[in-house]
Amino acid sequence: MKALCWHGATDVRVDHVPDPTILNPRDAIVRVTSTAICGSDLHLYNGYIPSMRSGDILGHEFMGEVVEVGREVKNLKTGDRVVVPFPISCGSCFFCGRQEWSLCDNSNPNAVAAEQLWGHSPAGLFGYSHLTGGYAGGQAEYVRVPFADVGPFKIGNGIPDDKVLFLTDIFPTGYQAAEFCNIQEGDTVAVWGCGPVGLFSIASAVMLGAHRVIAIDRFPERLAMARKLDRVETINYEEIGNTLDIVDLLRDITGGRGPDACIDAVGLEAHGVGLEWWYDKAKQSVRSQTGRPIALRQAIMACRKGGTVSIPGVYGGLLDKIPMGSAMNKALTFKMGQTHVHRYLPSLFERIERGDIDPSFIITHRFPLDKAAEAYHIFAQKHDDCVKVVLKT
Amino acid sequence: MATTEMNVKRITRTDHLLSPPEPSGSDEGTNVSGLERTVSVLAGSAVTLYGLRRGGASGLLVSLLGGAALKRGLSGRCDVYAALGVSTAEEGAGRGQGLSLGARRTIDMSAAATVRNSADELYRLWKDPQNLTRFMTFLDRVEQISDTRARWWLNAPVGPVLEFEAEVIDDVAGERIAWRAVEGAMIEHTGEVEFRPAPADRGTEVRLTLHFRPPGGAVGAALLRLFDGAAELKLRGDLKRFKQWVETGEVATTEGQPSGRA
Repeated sequence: MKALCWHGATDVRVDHVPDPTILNPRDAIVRVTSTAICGSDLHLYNGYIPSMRSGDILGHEFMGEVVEVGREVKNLKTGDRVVVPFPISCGSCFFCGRQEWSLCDNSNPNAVAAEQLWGHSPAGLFGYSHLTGGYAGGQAEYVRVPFADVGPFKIGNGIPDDKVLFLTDIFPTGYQAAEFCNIQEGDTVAVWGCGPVGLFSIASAVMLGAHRVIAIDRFPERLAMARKLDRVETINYEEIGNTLDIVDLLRDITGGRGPDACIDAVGLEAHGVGLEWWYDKAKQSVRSQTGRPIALRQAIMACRKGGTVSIPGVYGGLLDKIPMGSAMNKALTFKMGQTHVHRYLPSLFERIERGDIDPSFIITHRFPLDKAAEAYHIFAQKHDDCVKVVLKT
Repeated sequence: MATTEMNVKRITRTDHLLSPPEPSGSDEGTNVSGLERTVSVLAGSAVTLYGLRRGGASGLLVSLLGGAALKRGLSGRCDVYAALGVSTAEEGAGRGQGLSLGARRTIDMSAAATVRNSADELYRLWKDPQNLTRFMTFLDRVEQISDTRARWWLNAPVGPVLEFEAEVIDDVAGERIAWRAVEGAMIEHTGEVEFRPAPADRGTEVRLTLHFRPPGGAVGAALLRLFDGAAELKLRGDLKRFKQWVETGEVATTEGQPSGRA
């Protein structure tokens, strides 16, 4: 089959590889019909996530048709149309029992290695480095889905791929980020990053009753997409200045209080302006920190006293100059984590069916899988106002 | 409760040491001799690179372990030595002397996991040695000789197949099984698996403990020392696979999946 393989920083290629096979009784094989490139795939593409190996198949946002099931998979059959959550969850451990699906205790074959780096191991993930299991991803014609009796969510034929594909990750991820904010009547939510996760965080914050959402980015086309949503104002931070300027502005436009909740939908490759930006860039390039936490610093500093900082953005290792003094003295609550996709999938699917939201609004580019390498390049460079790429097999 | 466990653990870790030497007052925090540190650095680098080239889950693990040896060599500090109260960094401990000192000591390691099932059920599963081949990666096969004796074959990725005979020395239904290698075995060790109910019906805490006596000879001792951290991580991995098998009916794997590697 054809599959998009990682061969090194900024080097991905569509290779011919063997077809996947059933390896465990609870596996299924899915023929991929649509798959997307996630912003977090760009962290892999740019070489910032450790434990990648040349030849790894990427992709954790995919859907398709079941073509084979293992002997213990009783709830799926050949021909079923499914969307597949990006965390792999066993459904029977302590964490899955608590609906904390992305913390599954049993799905990461490399859990011991993850413990060395993080203390404990989260769930295995599709196509996202060997620390989270080294599972082959779904930017391919076929993919093996472990614990297929737990993850895949069946969808009828009446609704197009584009509307349901993002149930695999970014829609639930944005929704969870907004839910973490515990939005109360009259609340203002500030969102750093207007990429796909930022846009779904914004849309979800509005759905959950935010009085006002302030979206922060530097790309006019992304800010324009955010502004189309109800109750959203935007800030182009490049026109404002550095962290202190942003914090001053946010304090000022919220009557001196600051946003009630701040969402960092940027993660470890944040951009900024001035000295801070160059400092982080230099430190990251010599690997004395593994992320550039500019958005996170701003979110902490800007958040109102007693507010919530919600972090759907991905971090992998160590960060520098995190204003813990601000966080502690302002009594902030931090909420974060990989998304418990299984928890949100059914209710968000209902919202799509009801017409509350059509997630396909973020798609700007479509390519055949053959052109995936080119698609990564365009997305990484944000050429051609690229916000979200869908690959068709 | 937690305090008791800590004490228990400390006792099992030290009661095999006849008279652990006090660490010397030389470099603070250093407990590995100069020669050994050099060996750790060189071997650690080689193992790290080997692991990275080998790839896969086992390769990643190997490279991490190489990294641990590297760190041990660079820092002159070995956590396992520290836990054992052993030091080879004393004055005049270089030139082989340091190696043979450690060679007579027991190396202890343990791993713990909380599994959802009851202690009785887990005990029963553990009692049948054939089950252990499902999750112990280096365990090739087991042959029961009598009620309390079995012959074991280990097949590690490097080195020869190891064979030894072990006998059960303590067996309390639903609580613990302890065994030891019979006299003259290739791998001289004792081991124990304990099952204790976790609080509030959260399942069972399973603790696996092994005490090794390194085989004689400076080379064997040096090799074992290099991999002492590695072996403990291996033990932890095996216990995780036990938990996966019991809780999900299968052991998580990517072995045999496609990739763009030739």
